[in-house]
Amino acid sequence: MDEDRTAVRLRGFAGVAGAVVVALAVLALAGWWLHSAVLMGWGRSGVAMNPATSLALVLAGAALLAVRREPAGPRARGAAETLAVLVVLLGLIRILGYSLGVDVGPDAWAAGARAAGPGGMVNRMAPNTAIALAALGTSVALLDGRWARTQQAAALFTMLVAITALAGYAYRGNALYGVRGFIPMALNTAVALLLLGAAVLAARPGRGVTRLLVSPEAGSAVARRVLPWAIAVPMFVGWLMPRGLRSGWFDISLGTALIVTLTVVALVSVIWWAARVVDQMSSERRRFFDLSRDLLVVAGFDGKFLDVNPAWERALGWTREELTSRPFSEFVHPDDLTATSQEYAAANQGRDVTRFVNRYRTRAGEYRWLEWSASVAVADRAQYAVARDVTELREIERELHERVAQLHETNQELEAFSYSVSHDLRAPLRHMTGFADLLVARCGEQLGDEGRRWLAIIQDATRRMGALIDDLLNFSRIGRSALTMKEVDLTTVVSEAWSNVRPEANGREVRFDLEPLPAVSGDPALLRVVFDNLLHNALKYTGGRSAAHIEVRGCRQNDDVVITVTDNGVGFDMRHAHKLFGVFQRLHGSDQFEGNGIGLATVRRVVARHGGRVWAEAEPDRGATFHLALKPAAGATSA
Amino acid sequence: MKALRRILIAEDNAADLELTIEALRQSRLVNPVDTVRDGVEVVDYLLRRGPWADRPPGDPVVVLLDLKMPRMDGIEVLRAVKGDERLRRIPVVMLTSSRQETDLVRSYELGVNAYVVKPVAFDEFLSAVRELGTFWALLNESPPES
Repeated sequence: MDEDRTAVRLRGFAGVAGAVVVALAVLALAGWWLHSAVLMGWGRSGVAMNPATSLALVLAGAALLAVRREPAGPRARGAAETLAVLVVLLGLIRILGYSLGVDVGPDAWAAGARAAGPGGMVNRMAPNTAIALAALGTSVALLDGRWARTQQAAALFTMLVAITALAGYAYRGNALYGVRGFIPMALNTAVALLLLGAAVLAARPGRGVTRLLVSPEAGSAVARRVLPWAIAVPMFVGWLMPRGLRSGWFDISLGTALIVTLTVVALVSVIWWAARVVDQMSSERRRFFDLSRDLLVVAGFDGKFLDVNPAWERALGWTREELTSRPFSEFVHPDDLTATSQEYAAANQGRDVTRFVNRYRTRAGEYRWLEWSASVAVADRAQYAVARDVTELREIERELHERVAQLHETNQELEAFSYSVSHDLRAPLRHMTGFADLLVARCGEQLGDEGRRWLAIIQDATRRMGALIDDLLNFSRIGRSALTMKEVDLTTVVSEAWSNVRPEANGREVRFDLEPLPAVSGDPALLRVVFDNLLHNALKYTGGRSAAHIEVRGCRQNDDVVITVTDNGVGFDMRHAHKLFGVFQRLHGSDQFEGNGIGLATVRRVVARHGGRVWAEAEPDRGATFHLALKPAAGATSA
Repeated sequence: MKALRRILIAEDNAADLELTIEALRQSRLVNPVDTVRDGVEVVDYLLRRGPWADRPPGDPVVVLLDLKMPRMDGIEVLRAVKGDERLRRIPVVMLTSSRQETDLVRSYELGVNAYVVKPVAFDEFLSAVRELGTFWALLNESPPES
């Protein structure tokens, strides 16, 4: 049973019951003015709901309505408590009146003008009504207070008084519903009190008897099934006995025998049924207990296991008897013993255990790592614990840590390497260019044409090597630097990249078309590097075209944004496409087109780090098209 | 007329040193140039002790400091200079091959006055050193001598 849904229904019932009672009482009051016996007392037995009782019921119903939500606000609580205290006072004053033998207070003024009532109906608050009202008021006043037991008892007492009166009506014995010949309780009053008593209990499903009835535990499940019978069977018997005797269906001895038999059969059936319910629920739990691959255990506070599930034997090899007959400390690794006893002692104080790890010895003498969770029932002096064998997991974790450390080391070596590339390789290069320049400047005359040409080759080579070192460093930095992901306006990024690359055209006529591009999620600086490279390539490979044309488009395709960069340059043979994105891979000689084969490798590295893809289509002499699949910006919806 | 203040170059690599001096020469600066070959010597020079005990008094107009030097590297020199009450006002410029971010960050944290990466191409190197020299020797107003 879903406890929350039940709780909601119960609170709903409390509200409805409160409203119904208020309506009932107001109708009864109206009956006094309209002379309607039906409204006043439902026309039964000549007993009407007394106006003071009506007033008290209206107050009690209103109080309950005020605090029907849980938790009730402080103002609602204040109002409800005031109303409830008034109800108690109304009841107490009437009780006082009876004990002093005088009419005081409410009865005297509430309907003084019509004290006799119409149709000879008796008009006085019955003593049992007064007592029930006092109890009901107490119960409402204490609804969210600390005196939970008193509150529950008062509500139950109210219901008991009401049920007694109702039973009286049912069995037509006035003595039952009127106390010692006093005025009896009106039928509508009894119904109203019963409803309110039940409503008070229902309004707080988490408390006392109500919780016992609605909780999902086995006991509650049984109580829910048995309780109606426990009430219904005796009531039926009580109804049947006098009726049967009067009608001559059976005499007293046969009647007694019949009724005893009937009661025995009914009670035995109910008990048998309840036992089945409990059995079913406990076998359900037992199945899970036996089936679990985690190690389940109930441990006492004496350092021993009370019960273990079969997973223990499968994991450690010890039988259930071995594990429950010896203190569990005998199975714990000596090094973990101190920590284990500390954790165990803390748990015995009521602290739950989470993720505590220790080692248990197997029958074979090995140790397994167990990770524990336990909840403690101090009152039952028991710990309910689940252990999971995490030996393999720990092994994997350890390996992972080792690998991470190795990786870290490798990364640092790489860092040192790129540092030395940046510093140590540049220095000799600078010397070569520097002294070659000085040589040309100072001694150029003496060198002759051929000498100067050779020097020019040296100068050019060093310049290219410098560029290569820079590109390599950039390439390695792109692989290592952290991504700062944000929403990127690609249209801006591409047009900035174009402004940056455009001067390389050297005045050549190039048509550049840029469509508005969808926003993507990425690192703006790195995406800029991507488009710098792609547009640089497009410009380079359209070098020989009289009407060069470069076009950038983008669209949503399923979960990706696909950006396309097209040019009408020299293209390439698709047979070599697999080499396109490798480091130092070139599909054109550097005599034809300058370059060092790092640009597209950088593009692929950036796109890969964004979780995207890059691919190309081309035909020799008919242009090339590069596609990038990137992740759309987080806010963008699928088209 | 007051004597022109000197420029101090700290550089362990002879070829680099020669190129730097050549660049300064081409920039037509007339300030005298002193050279030291490692970090320990830089501090000796500035404090006028050891081999530099007899140098003419006065702080250099600028110290051009290489990062990688034997005994005491550029960063250590920078820390020593900027941490010394007597020396911390002397302008120090890193003149280095390293564009490494960690070097940049550490230099600025220690209070370097400028950080210049030596260009590989000689004409760019020339213009870099020329501008450096002109700025510190002519344009910049040096701190008063303590």
